[in-house]
Amino acid sequence: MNEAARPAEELETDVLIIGYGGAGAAAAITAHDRGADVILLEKMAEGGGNTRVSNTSWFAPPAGTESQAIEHIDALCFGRTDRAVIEAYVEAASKNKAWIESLGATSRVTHLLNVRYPQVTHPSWPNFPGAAAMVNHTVPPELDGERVGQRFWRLLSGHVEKRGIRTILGAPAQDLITNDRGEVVGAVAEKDGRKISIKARRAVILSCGGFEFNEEMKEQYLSVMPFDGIGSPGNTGDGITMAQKVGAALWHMGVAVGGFGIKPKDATSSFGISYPAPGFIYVNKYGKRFTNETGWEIHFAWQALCFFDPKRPGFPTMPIYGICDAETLRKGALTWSGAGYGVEHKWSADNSVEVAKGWIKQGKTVGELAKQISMDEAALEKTLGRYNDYCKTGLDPDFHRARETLQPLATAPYYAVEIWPRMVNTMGGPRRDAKARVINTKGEPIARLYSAGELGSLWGHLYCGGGNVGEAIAVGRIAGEQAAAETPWS
Amino acid sequence: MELAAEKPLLARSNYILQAPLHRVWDLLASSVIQGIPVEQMDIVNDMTITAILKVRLGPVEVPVPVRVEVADIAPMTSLSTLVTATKGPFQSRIRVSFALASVSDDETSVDCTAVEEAGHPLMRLMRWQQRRFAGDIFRSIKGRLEQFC
Repeated sequence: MNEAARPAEELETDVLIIGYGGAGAAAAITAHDRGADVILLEKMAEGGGNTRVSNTSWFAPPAGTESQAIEHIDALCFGRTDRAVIEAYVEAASKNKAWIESLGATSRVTHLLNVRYPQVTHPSWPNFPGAAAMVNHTVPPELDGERVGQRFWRLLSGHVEKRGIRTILGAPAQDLITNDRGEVVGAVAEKDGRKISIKARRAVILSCGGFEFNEEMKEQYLSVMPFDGIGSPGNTGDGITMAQKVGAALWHMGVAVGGFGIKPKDATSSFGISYPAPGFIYVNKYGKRFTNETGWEIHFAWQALCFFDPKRPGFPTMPIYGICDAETLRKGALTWSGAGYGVEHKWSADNSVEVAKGWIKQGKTVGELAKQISMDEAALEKTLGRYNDYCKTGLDPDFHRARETLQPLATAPYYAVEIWPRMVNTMGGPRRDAKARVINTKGEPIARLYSAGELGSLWGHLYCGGGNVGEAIAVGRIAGEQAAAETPWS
Repeated sequence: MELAAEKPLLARSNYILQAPLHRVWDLLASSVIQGIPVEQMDIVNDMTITAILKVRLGPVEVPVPVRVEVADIAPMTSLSTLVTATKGPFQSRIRVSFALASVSDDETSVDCTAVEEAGHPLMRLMRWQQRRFAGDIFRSIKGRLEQFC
C-alpha cells in the first residue's frame, strides 16, 4: 500500500513487530533494550503463537562447537540456505542460554528418555556431520500442570509486559506500507472492524508464523494432503502474502515438520501417536505394512505417507492404521499430549475413555478388528501372522525393523486407530539474509523490512528438533537489534 | 514417609555386556521401561513419567502408582532416577541408578543400584520383599539388554 492510501487513524513507533510469538517477543525485548519504542501487533486474542504450544526445546550449541553446528545445519539444508545465514544463526544461538538466563530463568539440557515408540532421537540426524553440537535446552515448568511451552511463554511475555511494550491483540495485519523509495515504513491492520495504521520510524519485523492453516497455500506448496496443523490457527501465511506484495523472494516453501496423529471428528485437536511399547505395526488401507514403523525421524514421519500407488491410483496410506494388542495398550496411553493448540481432552492412561468413545477400535480377533475398520480381514490376518513370525526370528526382512522393537501382537483383544499426517509447522516464507533482512526477487534487501521465526525459516530441507524455537529467539534478537539500529526515516 | 536414617541398599547388579557403550546406552531407558511391570504409563514431560507399578506380594499383585523422575543424567555414562510412591504403606522414594563404562570397543560394564531414600515405617517390615522385587526387576532389565545388545 502506498502512503497516499493509508487510513487517517494512525499510531507511531520506532519498530513495529507483526506477530507476537517467540520470535516477536525476543525481537521486541531486544529492540526495546536497544532504546527503541516498540509496538507488537498480534492477530490472535492472545500471544504465544506456536512457541506457547510447542515442546519448547531450543538449540544452543556448547561453547567451542559452533563450527560443528554450522557444518551440521549446512548438511541438513542441502545447499538451500545461504551459509552466512546459518553462521549468523549459530552465533546467535550460542548465546541463547545466556540470554534466557539473563531473563531470570534457569535452564537445563534437554534429554529424551526414549521410552515410547516411535522413538524420538536427538540429535534428530545423528549420522550427519557435526551432530554432537546440536544440544538443546529447556526451561522446566514451575507450576502444577504447566506445560514446557506455557512456562517458556510466561517467561517471554512477562518480560514484554515488564518493559511496558505496547501489544495490540486481535489485530491482524493486512498490508505493509511503503514510501516512494520502496522502504517499508509501517503496516495497516484491522482491530474490532476498524482499520488502524501504524507508522514505523525505523523498521518493521515480520514474525507472524507459517501457513499451517492456509489450505490454499498448503495445496500449492506441500506434497501431502490433508495435512492438518496442530499449532496456532493464526498461522495462515499472512506474512508471506504481505511480503510478496512488497517484492520479497520466497524460500523453503515445500518444507514442513510433522508426523502422524489420531484426529477424532469429535475432538478439538489431533493427538500424536506414541505407543508405550514396541508391540504395534502400521498398515495401509489394504491391510499391509508399508514401512519400518520405528525407523522414521519423528519430525519427518509424514513423509512415510507420501507414496502414490500408480497401479491403484491414489494414496494407499491416507489414512493408515496403527494396530496393537492388549499388552501394548495396557502399558499406557497411545499418545502424549505434550504439544498442540486447543488440546482439551486429557487422554486416559489406560486408553479406556478413548476405546469407549470409539477413537480406538477394538476386536476380539484380528478379523473382527478388520471389520471394525472396513479392512480386508484375510489381508490383515496375513500381515499380523507374518509380522509375528518375524518377531520369533528377530529379523524383519520386509522393512528391517530393529530387533529390540519386534514385539509380537499376540494378546487379544486387538486395537486399531486411524492415523493421518499432522503438521507442527511450515518453514517457508520470505527469504532473509544473515542480518534477518527480507530479500527481494533481485537478491537485494528490502529496506527496513526484517523477519524472524518460522516465517521464512532457515531450515531448507531437513530439520533438527529444537531448531525452530532456537531460531525464533536467536534470529528474533538479530532482527530486533538490527531494526533498532536503523536511522529513523524522515 | 520418613527419611531413612540409613539408606538401605535394595538391590545391586553389575555385569558386562558384549556391546559397545553407545548401543547399551541407546537401549537402556527402553529396557528399563519394558523390563519392569508397569501399566498406564503417562509421560508428564521429558524427565518425568507416571505409571502403575504392579508389585507382587506373594500370590497377590498390588497396583502402586509411581512417579519416575530423572534425577541426574550424563549421556552414555549414567542415569539416575527417583521412583516415588506416595500412597498407603508403599510410600517410598527409591533412587535407581545405572552407571555404564566402556571396557573395550565391544564390551560395556553396567552397574545398577536401588537405594531407598525414604519410606513408610511399614516398608521396613517388607524389606525382604522389596529386595526380592528390586532384584527381579534388575534381572529382567539385564535379560533384555543381553537379548538385544
